[in-house]
Amino acid sequence: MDIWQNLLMGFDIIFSWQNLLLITGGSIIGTLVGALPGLGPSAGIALLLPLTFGMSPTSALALLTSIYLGTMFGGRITAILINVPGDAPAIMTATDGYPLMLQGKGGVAMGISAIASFLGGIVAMIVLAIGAPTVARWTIHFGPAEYFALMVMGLATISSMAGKSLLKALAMTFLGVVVAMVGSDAVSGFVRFAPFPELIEGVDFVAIIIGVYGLGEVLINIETAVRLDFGKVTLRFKELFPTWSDIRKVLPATGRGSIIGTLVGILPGAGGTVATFIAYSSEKNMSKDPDKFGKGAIEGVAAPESANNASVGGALVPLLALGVPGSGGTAVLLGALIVFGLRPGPLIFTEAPDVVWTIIASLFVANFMLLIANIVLIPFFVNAIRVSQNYLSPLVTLICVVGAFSLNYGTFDIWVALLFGVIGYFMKKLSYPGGPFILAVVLAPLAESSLRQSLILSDGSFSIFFTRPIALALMLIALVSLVIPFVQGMRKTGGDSSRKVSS
Amino acid sequence: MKRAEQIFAIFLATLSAYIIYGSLQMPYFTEFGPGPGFLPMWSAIILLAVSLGLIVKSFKFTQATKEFITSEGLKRILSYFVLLMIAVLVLERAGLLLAMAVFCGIVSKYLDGHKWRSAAGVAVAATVISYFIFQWWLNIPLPGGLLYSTY
Repeated sequence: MDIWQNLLMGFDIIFSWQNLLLITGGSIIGTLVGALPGLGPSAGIALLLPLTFGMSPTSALALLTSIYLGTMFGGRITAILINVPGDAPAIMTATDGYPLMLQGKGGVAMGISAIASFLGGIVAMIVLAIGAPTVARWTIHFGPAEYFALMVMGLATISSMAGKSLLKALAMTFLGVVVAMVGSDAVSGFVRFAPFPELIEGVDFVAIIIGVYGLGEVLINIETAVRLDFGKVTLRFKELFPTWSDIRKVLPATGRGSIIGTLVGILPGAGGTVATFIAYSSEKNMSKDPDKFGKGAIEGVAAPESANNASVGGALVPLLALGVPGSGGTAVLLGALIVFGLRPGPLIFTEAPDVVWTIIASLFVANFMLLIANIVLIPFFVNAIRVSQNYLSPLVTLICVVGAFSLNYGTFDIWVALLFGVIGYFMKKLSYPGGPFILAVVLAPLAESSLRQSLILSDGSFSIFFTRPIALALMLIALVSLVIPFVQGMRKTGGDSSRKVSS
Repeated sequence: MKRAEQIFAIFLATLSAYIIYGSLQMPYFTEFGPGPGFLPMWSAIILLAVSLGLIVKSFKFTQATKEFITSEGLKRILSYFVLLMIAVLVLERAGLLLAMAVFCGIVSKYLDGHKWRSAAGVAVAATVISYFIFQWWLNIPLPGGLLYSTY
């Protein structure tokens, strides 16, 4: 079978000692980044991206995907231990994980959540390996009109789901589009909004993400100077290995969480965070004893943990098959693929099969390593978080500065990163979601080319987006996804709250 | 919080006004369809509308209860930022790793409140590890400045 051969090719590339070392390193770094509050999947990939420029695309993407998956494992550590979710997808894990910790079952919660995460990852990776090439085959005949509609749908759905204020999400989406318009226009070569010659090729995408997710986060960290207090962690090493009867008890919840996570991950706009909320609430609704949720139900840890890991594999389906990411983290990965000269979309499976199948194979390997690391190395991670948080700000700044410098071997991109660091700081503090912004920065140039190509085909008539059935359907989904939160907002009249969900 | 909401929304509105003005100077439509001014103009018009909406909303609904930043927090952020700007300004002359080592040391000592010895330890360790990772392993030509010659 095709998939087997391709997967074997991926594994063949992965099983070199350098790549295995990179995946192991990426898994550990990802777990730490996920566990440290404030830094999430997008930050992890963004900060390490400049490091990969000297590597081959396959090694680089093996490293980046293992970091991405690692953050999903990592967020739960601080969530369970001290009730501080390391990143947004771990918020639900704290709901029952921390009560379990207080009851002296923290080790079990940690072990079970690692296994649920692993199983969720496996389910989604199988769907990814089968689904992505299939979707790519269906969409290989998409024209520019369908592509444009697809990107509009991706931006609309992420705006409708990110944060609570639709206006703020839309502001971020269009700020992203505007930023992406700087520099030479891809169709005519006309140079737009470039007061400095360095901007003729546009604002470097990597400098933007280093700013928003790296320096912006450091600024918050510097301002608040909050340190996590682990107190005396009472985890017994033996408890980290769950018994078979513990595992059997959570298998149904894990299965359901995995399916929900995979499906939600595939949907554009909804990432790991949304997946965990749906998985948790559906598990609570289905339970015979819903009252125990929030008080230390082990299913309440297994379901969201399997869902957030499954969302990674799910999110890679549209990223690889269509070139349209659904979340901040995958948007950064799309940026990485473009940096390496690859054009994600249906053709990537024929143009760069080695890279695609290496990504998929490295997910399998990383998932396995993460399972082991997240059981055996928990004491190491706890100490690493305890120590590293004290030196985090200067060290992350150092990585940001070196990363931004290495983009063009000059200080210009460091200044760009600094500017976007300030913008990212305000975004975070005022609850402007980062996901739509990053997605728009990456997608806008591609969307503009598709838009203009479509209008050339139709002699300038916009009807091309409404007469072709697939384009029309995608546009309608985009419209509906924007109207629903708007109507909901009108009903509540002005319920602008500050739910902090970062993607 | 209210004031900060307004300042950021006004920043967005001003930026969009500049983009609209700029895109008016570019070809809007060409014989081959939309020109380079088309998308920037429309996205900036929407951004302007959205940010005006946010400004109105902040006057109507946001309560001025929570402080955006404490004076202590502001002082810390400004010191960090000024230090970082100085480091970036001198890094080509002084050497990137040297400038950043001094930066790391000062931030660890004064902002993170570590003792001199551990602050200096962090600075030296970060520099040495960075040198081996970036310069030696990844071959990124970081400006050596006073420390070493890049070429």
